[in-house]
Amino acid sequence: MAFIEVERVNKKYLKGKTETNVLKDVSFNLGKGEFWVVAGPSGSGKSTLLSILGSLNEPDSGKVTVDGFDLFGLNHDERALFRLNYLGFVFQNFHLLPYLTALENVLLPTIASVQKINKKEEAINLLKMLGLNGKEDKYPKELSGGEQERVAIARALIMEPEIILADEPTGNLDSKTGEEVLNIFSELNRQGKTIIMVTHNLAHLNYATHALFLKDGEVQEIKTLREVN
Amino acid sequence: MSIWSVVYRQMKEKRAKVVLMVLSVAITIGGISGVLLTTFNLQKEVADYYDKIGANIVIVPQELTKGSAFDGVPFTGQKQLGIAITLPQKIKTIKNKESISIISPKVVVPTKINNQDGVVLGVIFSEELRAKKWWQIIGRKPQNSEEGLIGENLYEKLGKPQKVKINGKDFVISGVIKKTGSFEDNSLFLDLNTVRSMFKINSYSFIEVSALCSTCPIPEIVRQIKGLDPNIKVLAMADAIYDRKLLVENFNEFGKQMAFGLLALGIGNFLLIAFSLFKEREKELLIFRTLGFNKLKIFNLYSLEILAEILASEIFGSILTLILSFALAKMLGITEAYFFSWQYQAYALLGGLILGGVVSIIPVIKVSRLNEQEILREY
Repeated sequence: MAFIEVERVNKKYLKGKTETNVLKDVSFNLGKGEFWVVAGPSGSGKSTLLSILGSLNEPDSGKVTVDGFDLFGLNHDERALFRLNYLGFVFQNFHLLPYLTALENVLLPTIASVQKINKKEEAINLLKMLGLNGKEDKYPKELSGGEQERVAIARALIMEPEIILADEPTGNLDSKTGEEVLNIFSELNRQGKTIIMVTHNLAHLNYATHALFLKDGEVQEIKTLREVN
Repeated sequence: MSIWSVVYRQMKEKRAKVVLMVLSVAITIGGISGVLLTTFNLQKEVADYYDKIGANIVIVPQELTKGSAFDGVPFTGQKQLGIAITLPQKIKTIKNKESISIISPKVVVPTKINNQDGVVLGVIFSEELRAKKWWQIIGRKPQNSEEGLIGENLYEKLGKPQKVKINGKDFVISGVIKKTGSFEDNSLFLDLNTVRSMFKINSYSFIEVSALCSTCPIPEIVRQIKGLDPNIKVLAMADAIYDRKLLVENFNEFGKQMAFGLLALGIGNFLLIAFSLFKEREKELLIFRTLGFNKLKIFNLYSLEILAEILASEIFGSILTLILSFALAKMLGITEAYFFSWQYQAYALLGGLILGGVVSIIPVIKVSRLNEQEILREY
């Protein structure tokens, strides 16, 4: 059984009076430890697919199974628990809380846990590992775009998730910083994390094991780029 | 890191709106409790006034014979028609008996005191002293039927004696009543039954009745007492504080309307600001949801913030109550006013919590139920 199974997923949005089919019968299987890039032009349904895989967005029809869990058979709180334990999100706009320091942003998911957990040491180590040593007490506005992205990655990793979902993580970064971020993802993948990254930049395919091409909400092609390390 | 530190940082981040929200609730709480406290102060002032003036109803015989009154006070005696001895008991049976606090029957006898002309009043000391709270007594209250009180003028006129002789019987002066500017200054007060038996009197000269409350229906009580005996005249004393009572009533009405207005304004402001704050936090909510916060956690996060804001509002509301009730007391000329009442603060706290709870529950539920999909479209 595949680690992630997506079966005939459909999603429509109503924009005014017009109904748009954002995803049409999308199906694919993804193995544990793979690095998938979801590519396609703007409006092809990449972000919608990612939000469905992240259980943030419910499909109109179809089924998504992760590690045997039928995602949309779970209630809202079970899905929240699933996200806490299985998923780490990294966004294009970083989505850091401006009133928390870098360290506090990284520690934010620990408050979501039902049990009281102390991961301060791990958070400091993560920031250090991502090259943010000494920036723990800085607020997001005091950090560069690349640094903010690395804080967001540290936050995604603090609960030791199986899967990293990244939505255009280099979209707001210069090419050098973007490359650094992609190297981090590559390294995380080498350590066994399953990564699904949405991008419109085909150069990013070099880092991935698989590529899924979407056009107008339909799967155009699925390519195996290299074997999993 | 705790949930509290996130709440604190959230509030610090949005301090302008938080301050506005706190002030809005504080003004509601302070305004309402300040107005209520002022109404209470006004009512208390009127009640205290009634307490001070003592009797507000005087019962006298229907017909007084010529020369049977002294300084407006009717005499009685063996040959005078007085008020029936049974009347005080009957008064205790009228419909509005609950409003009556003191019934003080008296006999007034002009007689020789230490061989000089004077007036003896037979009174029930326990009732009389309750009714005449303004009396300042030098000495002590009478302890038995052989002791009495004397008005300061008469006391001086008689040469400040320790004892007085009436009808051949000695009475000890236990206390002197300082001048009140009325017939009391020239009177000797003795035990009612002693005076009645000494002068063989079977009726009362007059009865003072006190209804010690600001809202008692005095004309109705007068009518009910009149109905008890056709041979009496019942006089309601001029309502010297009518204007004040009218002010209390008007202020009561104004207070109610102001309280409702403030409450509506407070709820409106609170809702507006709360919704605006929560609207701004939709992105924040998306972050919390993606990070795995469940609905209860999000509810707790926002509820704690509301709770902190309401508690802060209570503190500022209390200060505002103090300022407002002080200013209103000054403006309305209330001499003995309370500027702080634990009771009103407790009501305000409870009201604030209920108001905050009810009002905050709506946006909190709205936020915790928001569909990520809707927010995702915006961000």
